[in-house]
Amino acid sequence: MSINNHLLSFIQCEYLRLQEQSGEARVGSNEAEAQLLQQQLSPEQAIAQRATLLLSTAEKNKLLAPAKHYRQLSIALLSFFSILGGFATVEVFSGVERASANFFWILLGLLGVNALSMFIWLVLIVWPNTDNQSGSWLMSLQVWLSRKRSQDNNALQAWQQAISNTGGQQWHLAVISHGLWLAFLSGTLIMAWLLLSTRQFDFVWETTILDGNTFVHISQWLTTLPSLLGIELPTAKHVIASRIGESPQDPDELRLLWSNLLLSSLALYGLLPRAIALLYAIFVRRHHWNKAAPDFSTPYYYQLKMRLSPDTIAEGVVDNDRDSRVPTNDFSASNTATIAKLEQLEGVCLAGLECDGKWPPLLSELGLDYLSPTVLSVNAIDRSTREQLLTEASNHNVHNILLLARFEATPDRGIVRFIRQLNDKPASLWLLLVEHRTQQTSQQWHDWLSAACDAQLQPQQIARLSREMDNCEK
Amino acid sequence: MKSEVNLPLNIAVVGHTNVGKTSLIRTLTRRSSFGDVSSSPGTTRHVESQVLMVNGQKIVRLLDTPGFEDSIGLFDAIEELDDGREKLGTDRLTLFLNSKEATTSFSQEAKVVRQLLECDVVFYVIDAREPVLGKYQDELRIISLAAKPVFPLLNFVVAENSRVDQWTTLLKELNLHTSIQFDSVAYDFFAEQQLYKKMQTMLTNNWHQPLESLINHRLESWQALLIAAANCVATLLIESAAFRQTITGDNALSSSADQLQQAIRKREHKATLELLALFQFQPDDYGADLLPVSENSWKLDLFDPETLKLFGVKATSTAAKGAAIGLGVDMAVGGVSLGAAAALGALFGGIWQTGKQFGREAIAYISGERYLCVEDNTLRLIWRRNTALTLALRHRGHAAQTQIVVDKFQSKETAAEKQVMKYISVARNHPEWSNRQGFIGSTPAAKQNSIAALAAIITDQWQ
Repeated sequence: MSINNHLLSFIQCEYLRLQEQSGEARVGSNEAEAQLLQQQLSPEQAIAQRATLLLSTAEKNKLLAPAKHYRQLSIALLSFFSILGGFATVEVFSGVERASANFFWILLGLLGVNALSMFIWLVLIVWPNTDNQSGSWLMSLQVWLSRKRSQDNNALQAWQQAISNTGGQQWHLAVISHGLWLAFLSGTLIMAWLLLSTRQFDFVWETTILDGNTFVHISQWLTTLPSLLGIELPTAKHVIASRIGESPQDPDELRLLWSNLLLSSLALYGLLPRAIALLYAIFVRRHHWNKAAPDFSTPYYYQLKMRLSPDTIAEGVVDNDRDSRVPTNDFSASNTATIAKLEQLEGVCLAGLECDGKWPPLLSELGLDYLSPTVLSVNAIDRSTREQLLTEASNHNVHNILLLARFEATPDRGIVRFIRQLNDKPASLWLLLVEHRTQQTSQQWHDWLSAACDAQLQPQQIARLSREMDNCEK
Repeated sequence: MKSEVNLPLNIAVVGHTNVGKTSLIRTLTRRSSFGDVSSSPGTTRHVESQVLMVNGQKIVRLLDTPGFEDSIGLFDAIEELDDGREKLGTDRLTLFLNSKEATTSFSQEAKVVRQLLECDVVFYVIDAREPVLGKYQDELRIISLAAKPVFPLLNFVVAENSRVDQWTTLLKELNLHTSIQFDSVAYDFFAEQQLYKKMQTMLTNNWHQPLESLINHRLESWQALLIAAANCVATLLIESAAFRQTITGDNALSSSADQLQQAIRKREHKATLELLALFQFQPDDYGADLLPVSENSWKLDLFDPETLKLFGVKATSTAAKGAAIGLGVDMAVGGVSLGAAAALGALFGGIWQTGKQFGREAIAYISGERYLCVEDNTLRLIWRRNTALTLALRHRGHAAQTQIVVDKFQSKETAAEKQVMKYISVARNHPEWSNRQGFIGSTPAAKQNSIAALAAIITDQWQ
């Protein structure tokens, strides 16, 4: 098999695929992929390059072995078929009695089966077999024979898979069958020439029920192509003179003319069409092999494509964080102690920090009905309400500020700054986080404790209240 | 691609802290490894970029920024720098960047402001579960100073406590009429397409063509992904159906059954990992406990009758006596096997294949060989739950931090399932398709054709 470089490259990819899919990880794969990413190749090129980079020389040579075996097998088979062709010719001529050879019978014997198989092949080309099964037995045979000589299943499977993936299997089969027929017919032609050179045959024809002119017409039709080459061939007169029982005037000339027709018919109606079909099949097979490409509908190649030709690339950090984050202090608050403390408060200003829903909330729903806020309450949801609350906090009547906040809110720096401002006021600040269904409670609690610490609150100043707070719903 | 614009289009992804900016970029780029995501404020401390490519060309650059944390304070700081002279918004932002505050109290916000000035487009990410507060309005006012096209993106819209209407009203009041709903956790491919399409209509004509190529490329990639996933499920089904375990002796039924069950569990697990990898989810990213699979199998065992029930598959009496659930003993006698072989012949039109199949079955029959294979109901279950898993993965954003929950699954036989089962019966007659280690010899073309045809049916069903 003349190895098409494109196909060989695809076979390497398939070999690597079979190995990687069977769980064999490749050393250097990440480095190779990083290197390929720099080169801006198409996915097909990058995948082929990756295989080239990752396969060792020994493995690449191993992949050439099936082609070598195939070549050896081909030479053996071609030789065998040419010898077979020769034997077939001898067999056909051996039936000739008393050196009178029936020309049409011999021609049918030498070319009949060939013509029939050629006809079947043409029919299959026009109406192809859609199941793509053709050649399966041949592939099996090839694999079986190769297996006898090679131990590497993956190398064979890679070949098998690659060729069947290209869809050129039918044409590969055609190349093989035309090649074998060509070898057979070459043997036939050479042996026919040898026999005609060394033995004497009187070519005749005969019929019982057909009109004599039929064979005259057939022979004249057969001479059409060879006559174009200027070969001397039997004319109608010669054909009539060759009918069995006739006594031709110049038997030597007749023998030569009929021999010319036989040999040229073998060459032009046997070998030539096969050679043309072979060249065509080689051409189409090459076309298929040149199209050999990874099938991106399979998960393996899809993932490889995504890695080697990604849709997205990370460019990394553009504007770095120069300030390292100050670790928060170890800060732990006790819920029960703080809430118990609230019961003893007097002069409470109930305040909200970005509280949602109706304001002020019903204290009974929060379980805080023991509190009796004495000052107008404020919910700090924007700049003006924050300022209003800070003003309220400065009021002399306010001794305690109970600041309600949503537990699930993110305690950002803005919140921390505001709590710190409020904490700086003469009144005591109590931060009560109302918990209302949240998933990551421990992380959230930790974030609030960090925020409280940053806002310079004491552990007893913060607590969380796990209550359903319906009026805080939207 | 000919374009008069400087590619890529730089998009600054900004917003309050903890609204899911990094998550959004993770989902838009399908990279769960991008940046750091946590529920704590200020997780992203630097500006990091990720680029969307089309055929090697950079089309869009997404710049992840630290979140605004103290926008009320920031706005005040910018206002305080005002010396009373008439200035453009961009000049005011530049003035702020040159001020002391930009390197001290508002160093995080300064990074955002810098990107606002340098970018082409702003994505303002909103946590739609949050109440509409004054600090967010201040953020929008600061952003408006940069005089860049702003696209408000409402994140977490699928959450039950989301307040899309309240937010949309506020945005309209601020003259931002084109808000986009894009949930970075509950991913919707068409919402992503909508995002780029809306950008196309809002930006100048020059950006139309690059964005069009991005939209088309994303669509092609998405379809290619679905096809690859369908191929993965089809291969799993075909190989599981083709799997045969020969019963070697009279007492070896249960050990053979164990072996077969183990092999099928392992095969399904392989497919699960492959599906996760295709959708670019890494089991390690989520911890061992966050997948519906553990160790070597799904948490719901394939051969547990309860699992069958859950997926609406009735355990039938076809399970062989003495064999475990989900397995059938096929004696390779006339009826089923040969009938299926004939059906195969009819389907593929290949006399050769049919003949070969008859031959193989006949030899098995004569030699009295018995083998175990996977029952139809189990294959039906594999089909249903892997379809459900794929559906979950398709709608999972790369920012999702919770366990993949497969809770939506069909419990009735669909037309697609009927077709799938047809291919399964074909595969059952091809033990060589099971891809067992060491097998070699026949052309894989028929198996490939079968997988491709089945994958096409699966893709149709999924779409």
